[in-house]
Formats: sequence, C-alpha cells, structure tokens
Amino acid sequence: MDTLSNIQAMLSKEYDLPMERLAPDQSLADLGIDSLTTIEFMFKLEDKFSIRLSEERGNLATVNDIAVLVDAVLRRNTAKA
Amino acid sequence: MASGRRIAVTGLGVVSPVGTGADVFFDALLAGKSGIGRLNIPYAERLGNHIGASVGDLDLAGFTPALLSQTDRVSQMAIVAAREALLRAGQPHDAMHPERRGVFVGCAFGGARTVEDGYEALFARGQNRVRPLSVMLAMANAPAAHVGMLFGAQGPCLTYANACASGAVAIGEAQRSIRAGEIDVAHAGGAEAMLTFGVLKSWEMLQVLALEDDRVPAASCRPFSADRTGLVLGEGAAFIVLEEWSIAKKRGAPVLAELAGYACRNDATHLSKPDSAGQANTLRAALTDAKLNPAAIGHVNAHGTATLVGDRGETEAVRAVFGEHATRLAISATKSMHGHLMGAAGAVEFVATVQALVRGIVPPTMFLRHPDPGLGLDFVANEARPLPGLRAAVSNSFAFGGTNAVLVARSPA
Repeated sequence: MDTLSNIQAMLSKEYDLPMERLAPDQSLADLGIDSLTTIEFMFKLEDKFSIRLSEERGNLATVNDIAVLVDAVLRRNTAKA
Repeated sequence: MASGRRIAVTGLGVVSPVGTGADVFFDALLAGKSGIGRLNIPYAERLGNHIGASVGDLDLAGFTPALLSQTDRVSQMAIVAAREALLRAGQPHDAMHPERRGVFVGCAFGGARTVEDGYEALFARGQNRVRPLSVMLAMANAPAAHVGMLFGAQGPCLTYANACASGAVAIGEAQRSIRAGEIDVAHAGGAEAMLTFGVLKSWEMLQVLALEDDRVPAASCRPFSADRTGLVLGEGAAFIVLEEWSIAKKRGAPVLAELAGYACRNDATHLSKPDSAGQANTLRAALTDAKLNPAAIGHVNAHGTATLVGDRGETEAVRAVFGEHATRLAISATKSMHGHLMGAAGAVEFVATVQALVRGIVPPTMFLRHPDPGLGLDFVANEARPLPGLRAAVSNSFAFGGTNAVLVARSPA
C-alpha cells in the first residue's frame, strides 16, 4: 500500500470518515480536521511509519499534503541510511 | 430579582453501565438490571479484584474528527449525556444570551485513561513521548469545556472535584447560580471514566472494593445487605438542564421536576470515615433550603455504596433527620446496579431521583438478600415499587474528604 492509501485508511479509521470523502485534494479543514487534530494525527503517523515529524509541521491543507510530507521524510531517512 | 427564583429540571441525559439514554437507564434500574461484571481492560490479570461497571463501547455518532481526537473517554461520555439532556429539554438557549447559560460539572479525576496511557508509554515501554494533546485530554475541566463549546454557553464553566459528591455539588451549585440571578440556564452534571489498571489497583489497596460474588459477579454490590462487602467502581456521565422556572414555563418546556433544595457541608473530621452527624446536618439544611418538612419526603436515593461503615452511617443520619418518618421512606441504593460512578455518581443518581418522581415508581436496591438487622429501614429490596403519590425525593452524596451534598427534587406543581 502506498503512503497516500495508508494515510487515507488511517484517517478513515481514526475519524470515522468514509473513504469517498478522502480524495487527495480534499481539504482537511472541510473534513473538520483542525490544527490540534493534525498534531494528534502526526503523532500517530510517526508510530505508523517509524519516523519523526516534530520539526516538519508545514502547511498541511489537503489529504495529499500529508502524504507528500511523510514521503519526503521517508526518502530523507532512506538517503541517510 | 434573585430571591424566590425557582429552578426547573427540563432535560435529562445519561451514559451508564446499565444503558445510554435517561429512559433506557431508568427502565434498566426498574428491571433490576446490573451493569456490574468482570472488566476487560489491560493488565486486568494483575488485579485482585476484576469487577467493575463499564459502559462498554460508546456510540460516538456525530463526533467530528476534532472532537474524536481532542477528547478522553470522560469528555466523550459527558458530551453524549449533555447532548441528550439538551435535546430533551428542547433547546432552551436559542433566544437567550450565551452569558446567561452556565456549565457545572462534577469530575473527580479527569482523563484517567490519557494519564495512564501516557505513564505506560513513558515508564513501562521506555518511550520518551506521549500524545501531544495529553494535557488537554486529561485536564479535569475538559468535560465542562467541551459541553460549554458544544452549546456555546459563555457563563460560568466550572468543575467540581469533591470525590463521590462531585456530581451532586455541580448540580447544586448550578441551582445557586440560577437563584442568585447570575444565569438563567445551566447544563449541570458529572462525568467519570477511571476504569484503568492504576486507578483500580489504588482502590484495591484501599480495601473498600466489593469481593466478586462467587456465583453471580453482577450481584457483587449489595448495599444495605448484611453480606455487603464494599463498593464497585463504575463509569459514566449524567447531565440535566436546569432553567429558571418562569423562563421554562414561558417557552413551554417539559418541566420534569423542581430542584427545590440543595445543601453542601463538610464533616471536617476524617478523610475517609463517614460522619453521620455531618450527613444529618446536610440533610436538614437541604430540606430547609427546599422549605419542606421531613414528612413530605417519600423517597431517598441513598448514597448506599455497600461498605459496612458507610451504609450504617447513612442509615443513622436518615434516622436522625426523619425520626419516625424514616421507616416510611422508600430508600433505593441504585449503586447495586450501576456501581459507583464517583464524580458522576451524584448526577446519575439525581437523574434516577427525578425519573422516580416523573414515573411514580422507585427503583429497587438489588441483591439485598439478607437485610442487615442493624439498619431496619425500608430499602425497597429487589423489586421496583410503584409510588403514585410520590411528590418529593432526596438524593444523598457523601464523599471522601468529608463533603456531603444533598439534592431535593419535587414534582412540578
């Protein structure tokens, strides 16, 4: 499963959202995912992908923004290794 | 303006171990259904005493992602109960200034699960991080804050931590705030969710928990029975909507009962040992506040935790205050079914008290197999009892720390 699909599945499970509402360009704010919720979700992403996102809190506006961020961190970690 | 303001109870909401919904809850009590059983929680195998009264899975339909991620179980239960109460009251706030509405919540602990999950991660699993919102999830005033935000209530938003009396204190203080003219409507109640390994172990060490009944775990909590062995911890939430009487009447609200009296006193004698003199003082003060003679009361929802000393002390207090009338009171200890909801106990039991007035029937004290000969009052043993003439009732809450709180409800007239 690619990163985006993983994140869509996690969002669906965590927040009881139907998958059809989780298109890549879906606005997080429109889903009711506010800044505090994003912080909690990033914490869960850290566990899921074994990464650290604490210094990476950019401007996350859409579902795909989260996947792009996680992929960037994963690529950097791979490059370090 | 403030003097003489009467208080109407216009809405009820409950999340309890015997069911969610104020009617489901009361029907279960009337049927003698117990929500007590073996707990299925992490580390339960290390508990000497596995029983509790759990709500089980919560129905969180309608919770937004923000609410789901920003609430401990204790706040989730508070929100569900408060929403029901407001729905039943018929939205009293639409035309009212937000500052005229307050929130009053009893919560003895706060977000116990968040606290324990955090400690488990730090100490047991050696991690060096906890959920980023742990502080806001665990703080004791989170349930009140969420209820306030949900309803846009901008008056006082207060949390009372008075152990087992917290919920009753919250309701009583809401009454005072309306009487004083500070607000016109209150969302008042209690919430508690502390069925976690660390909390249960702490209670176990105190040696006040009921022994598991060999044959029927659901019958482990037996208030006022000679074979009682202690209390059973429970979880849940209950909320009521209180309104200034004339405002409730004017909008045609369903006035279920009048919150006629409240008193809160402190024993100032011992951290845990109940003091029947202090309890009696509180009962008298609450009846005075309600302007009711003891003989006007027909029903008592007892604190009745099923500890040896506590039930005896409460019986003495009731005898001292009610005199000969004490034997005519129908006294129900509903903790036999829903367990001890701690910060929510006083609220959930006040809902049961109001429901008894509304329906004209009082719930039983279940599992009262062997009446304690030393007590000798009418504890409505094992079967609900119709009391069509019931007009006024009392709900007792007596707490560790010495806080006693008594609420008096009366049929609307």
